[in-house]
Amino acid sequence: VTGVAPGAARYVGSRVARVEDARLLTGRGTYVDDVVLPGMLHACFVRSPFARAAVLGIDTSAAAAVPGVRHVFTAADLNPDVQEQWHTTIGKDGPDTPRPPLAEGEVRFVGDPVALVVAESRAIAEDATELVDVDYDQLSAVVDYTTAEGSDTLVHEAHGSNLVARLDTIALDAFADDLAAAAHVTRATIRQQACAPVPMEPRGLIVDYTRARCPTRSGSSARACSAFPSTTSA
Amino acid sequence: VHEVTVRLIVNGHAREAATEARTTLADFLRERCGLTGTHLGCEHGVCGACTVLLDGAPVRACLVLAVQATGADVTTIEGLAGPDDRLSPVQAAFRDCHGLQCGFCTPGFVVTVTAFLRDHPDPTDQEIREALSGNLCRCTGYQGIVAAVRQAAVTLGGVRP
Repeated sequence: VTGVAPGAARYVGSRVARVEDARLLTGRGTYVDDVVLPGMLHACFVRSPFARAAVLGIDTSAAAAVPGVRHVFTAADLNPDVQEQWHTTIGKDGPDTPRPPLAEGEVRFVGDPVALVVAESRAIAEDATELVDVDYDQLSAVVDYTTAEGSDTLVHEAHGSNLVARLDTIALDAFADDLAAAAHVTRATIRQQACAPVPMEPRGLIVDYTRARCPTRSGSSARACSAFPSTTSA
Repeated sequence: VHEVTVRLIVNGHAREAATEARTTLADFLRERCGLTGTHLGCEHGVCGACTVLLDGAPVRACLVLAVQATGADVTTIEGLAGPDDRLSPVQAAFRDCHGLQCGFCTPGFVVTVTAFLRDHPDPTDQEIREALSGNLCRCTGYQGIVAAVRQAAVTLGGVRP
């Protein structure tokens, strides 16, 4: 290797044994689900079984009464204190199509979180989610990209349209004359698969709120994982 | 909730604990035995990450209740390395052939392959791929894993020249 700093030359072109392999191969890695903290509670979401529905009411009383359940939260409890993180790849002027932490008045996809049960064990939390009674009024859903734009059903009523983003790579209008004069014009519809995460790539999270224990250190520590054994601490 | 006492041998050590009858073997190993190397991916028998040896047979620990395993001899990923934590031939081959990346699915693969090579010491590539078909990996890819099985078969001495 030439023109490379000596430090880099140690690695470029050579096989480097990973330092983490021995522990990962012997079952000694630490993933989010392996971490147990004193007093740790478990959260489980109540999720929408419908692609679109109005939420007319939520009765959490039976779930809250289960021994070991600490809290049952709905949108009214949590959403006002949450600064919604909003991410877009189409720039700052992209339309605001809200994705609240817990559904407010309407669910927009199967799996949309509606309520959050916090309990002393995962099993108790999961049991209690089944006791949360959500009164849904099922509505017609938009399930097809090709007909979404012309649909009377709006996924985000306030946005006024089902077109949220458009990615134009070439302004075809500029080639209108060329296309009109072309000997052959080929049209093609290119379909790509819908992607969904699998349970082996979860977004696990453990938060340890420390301010109460340690007055000099405000905030909390968080461990997160997405298919990586190393935890992220903040 | 009704609890039952589960007694079994895990990696050569006797274990006994009271647990709910509905507790899976996987949760029992992870939570009652502290053996978190057995991983739960799908929890319904598809991904294979939770594979352990139950009386020598590879099984999905998410589909076996702990009470069903009472009296059995269980080997988990933590029980496969040799003295002084020396990697087993299968574990060493996974390291050498880049058969793992994030490592989440790895315990299930290593346990599955350990049982497979015990029963099929000189496998064909087709047999290797069939043996691996019950385990999912979502980041490394399978070529390195197949290569690791081939190498482990040689190391274990089962491959006829």
